[in-house]
Amino acid sequence: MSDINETTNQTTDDSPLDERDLRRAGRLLRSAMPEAAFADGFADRTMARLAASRAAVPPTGLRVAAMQRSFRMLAAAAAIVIVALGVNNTLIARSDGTSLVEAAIGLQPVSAESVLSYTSETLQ
Amino acid sequence: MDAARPTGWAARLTVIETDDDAALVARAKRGDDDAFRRLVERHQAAVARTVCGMLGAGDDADDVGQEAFVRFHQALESFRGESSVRTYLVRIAMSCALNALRGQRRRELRFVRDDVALESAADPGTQQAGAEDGQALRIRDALDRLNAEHRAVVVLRLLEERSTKETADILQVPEGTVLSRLSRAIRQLRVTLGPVWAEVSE
Repeated sequence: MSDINETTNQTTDDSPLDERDLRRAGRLLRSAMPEAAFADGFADRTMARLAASRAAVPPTGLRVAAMQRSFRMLAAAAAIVIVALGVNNTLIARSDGTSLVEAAIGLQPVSAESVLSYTSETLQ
Repeated sequence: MDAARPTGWAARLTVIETDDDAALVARAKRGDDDAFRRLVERHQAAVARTVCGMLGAGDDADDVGQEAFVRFHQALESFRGESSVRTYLVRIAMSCALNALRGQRRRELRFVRDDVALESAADPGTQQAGAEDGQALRIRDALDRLNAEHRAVVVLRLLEERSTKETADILQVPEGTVLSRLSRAIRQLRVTLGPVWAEVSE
């Protein structure tokens, strides 16, 4: 198949390849390994392994479903935290006379004096 | 290289085979397992020659052969047909075999094989019958003593009788590297085999 001569005397950093040595080595190796073949049923084993490798990787649908579950849990936890903070603000801050909305979102009460002082400072 | 190309009917058959491979690959890409199975059946001999040459016949070689085909299946999407399916598969198989060798699994097997050779030599009843087997074992052992890169060149270039260019393409190294590795490998084989090497007349 290949041309043994093509390799002769072409090496640079090693001694030149001897054509007889190449033929001798080839003959020796082929005599030691006359036929190389897998045992019967190789195709069956390969297809079974392929199926197993597919099963090991979760399909895209399952991965998306897992992400959705994670997102739902995070969203529920965030909602609980927001409600808890709102309740906390409402119960504590309303005692200062703030409105229900101001207390729920944590704003300070706005009085007429504070608005007027801000306006006069801005005009000056 | 052109002189080595098949002509006439051989060329037509090659074209048919290549077209069949392309069609099977296209079907396998669409998820057709029957098509992939046909690719396995068609090319398992070439993969076996490469893998058994590198690792010796046995369970390890079978395992690496399967791994090569599974990797080929995973790489189907990126296979553009620039090289033949067979060359592409042999490249994957060689890569898998080199990985297996680097995993040091061969060391244990080499010890087992040495034991088998010693037992065979010690038993007078089997000496005559096992003389050829003993020589084959010695040659196999000499091949196993080459480092992985040199062994790969020897397997492809001498055992599979691929050209220097093909060997370089499969191993993805320059042709000069193939030649220098081949030269060193043959020098080592000559020393390791000693009398066996000398017995083989030209």
